[in-house]
Amino acid sequence: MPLLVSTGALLLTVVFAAGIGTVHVPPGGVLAAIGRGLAQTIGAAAPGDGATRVADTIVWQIRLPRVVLAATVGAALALAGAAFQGVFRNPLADPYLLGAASGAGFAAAAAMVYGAGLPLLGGWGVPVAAFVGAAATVVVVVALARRGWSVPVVPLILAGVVIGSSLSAGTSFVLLAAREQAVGILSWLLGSLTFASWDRLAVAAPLVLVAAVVLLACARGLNVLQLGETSAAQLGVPVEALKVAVVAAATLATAAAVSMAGVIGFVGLVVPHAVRLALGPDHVRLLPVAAIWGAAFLVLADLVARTVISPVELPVGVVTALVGAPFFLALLRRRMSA
Amino acid sequence: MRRVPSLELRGVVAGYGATTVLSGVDLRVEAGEVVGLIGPNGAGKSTVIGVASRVVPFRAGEVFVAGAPLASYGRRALARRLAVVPQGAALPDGFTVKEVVQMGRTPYAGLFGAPGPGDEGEIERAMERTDTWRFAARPVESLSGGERQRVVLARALAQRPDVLLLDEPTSHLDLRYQVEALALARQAARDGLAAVVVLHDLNQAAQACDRLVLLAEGVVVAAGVAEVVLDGGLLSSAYGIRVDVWPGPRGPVVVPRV
Repeated sequence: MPLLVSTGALLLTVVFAAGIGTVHVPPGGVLAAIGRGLAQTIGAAAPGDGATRVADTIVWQIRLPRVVLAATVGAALALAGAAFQGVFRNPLADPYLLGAASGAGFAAAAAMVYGAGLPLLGGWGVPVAAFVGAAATVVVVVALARRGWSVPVVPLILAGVVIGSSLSAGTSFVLLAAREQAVGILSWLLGSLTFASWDRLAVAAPLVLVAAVVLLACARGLNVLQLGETSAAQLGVPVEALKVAVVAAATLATAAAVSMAGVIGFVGLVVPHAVRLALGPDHVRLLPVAAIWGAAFLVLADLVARTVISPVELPVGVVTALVGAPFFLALLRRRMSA
Repeated sequence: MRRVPSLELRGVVAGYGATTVLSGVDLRVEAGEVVGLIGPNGAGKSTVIGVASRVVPFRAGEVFVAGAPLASYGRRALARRLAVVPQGAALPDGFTVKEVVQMGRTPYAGLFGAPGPGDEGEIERAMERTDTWRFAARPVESLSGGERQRVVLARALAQRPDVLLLDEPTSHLDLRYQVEALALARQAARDGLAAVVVLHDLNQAAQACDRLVLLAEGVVVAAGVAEVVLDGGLLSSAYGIRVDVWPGPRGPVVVPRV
């Protein structure tokens, strides 16, 4: 039931957000443009003309990729946040806990400044660098924390924090060393969906989908893990394999999100936390519902980011933090008084 | 012909890191009996439970569950044979009583953790056994200590084990709930399980268990019926204090000298 309602709310949000901007398109027009866009993609229809063509271009070519990418990134971050909170049994964990953001940020900044060879990758230099940076950082962190075949949680988090700080220092150094590119780097670091396109989506969405399937398969194991690792093992849960699978899948989702949209904060912390307060801790419900609300939240945040002081865009990470921080504090207060 | 014991430890040596906690422990528990594990703090009682449930590795000796070596069991297969009620079990906030008992069915779950056939019946049975069915829908954080203990026991029974290991099931409970927890262990034994109960209260142990095993400094000092194990001299040296044992109407009565 919460899943159906949430999905409906997300679809409404997407149609609504795709209609708003410098040129306003009513929801009916958005749906019609989506229909024509889909028909043309599969070759069942020819491009329209006149006003139809303008609406199609705005909705199908410009806004919809951005809105859908926002939804994909929001879903990925909320899913990863919920998974990290579950596997570390800590409601304050977020997708960047193991250094994915710092790794992506450092690699992206380095690619922007020193990436002379990256044009080989076309427009993909920065996203590929960010993805590799995020994933490689988490791999290094896990490798540092592991003891044989097991990965104890406290050393893992400590290694994540330490490696993360070192990489952030590296990013600061790159920023200072290349002042003229600093604004570009900074706006990437704060997150932006400006570079959305169907091509980027076609790469990011399957990665997020794979991560989502793995995490959903781990949902019941995560529930049992809440009893503690010893009790979970005594109930037949392969604790170490579960932890590695969850961390790997959540990192895949995070890296995909960060590589496409930069470092967007708060979605992965606030959304899973809020959904947990509303629905309870059962990961079978929590993971999909958190993903859907993460998607809706980021679509709305990006809508605010691109319209509130139009034609200038705010970094979407600034919006999520501005909205997320007070919301989170309110939740915490409510929880403490309850 | 001798019966195959449900759980057997032979000369088990185990510990954590460089410290050795158990230095050669033998234990034999058969279906239908309740064995009390007693001894001072640090004697290795919880380590015995950890070794039997394979969360603490052992360095030497042998462990058999239902006659087969511990190593021959897969994770899930072992959890179907042997269930643990941990000491002072913390339950995660937000889950309902039924959801926690359902976790006992984990070793039977199918692909993607889908509920196995017969889960619903086993959960109901375990909850009726422990009288937790009445508050099945309540969140666990709203329960009293005694209710929580019963929920954890229900989770263990839902595993449908042959061996039930209870680590201090009476701690933090008032007298009535202590008696209830021990009665549930007895009931499980009557249902054909082998139960091992770690207890601190020796008088309770004498009443609730068929046999006692006294551990001290990682070795079994005495094993047998209460009248044999609860001996003033043995207890005095195991606990390092003066202990008197008087004959009582329902077995020996242990009185430490304060």
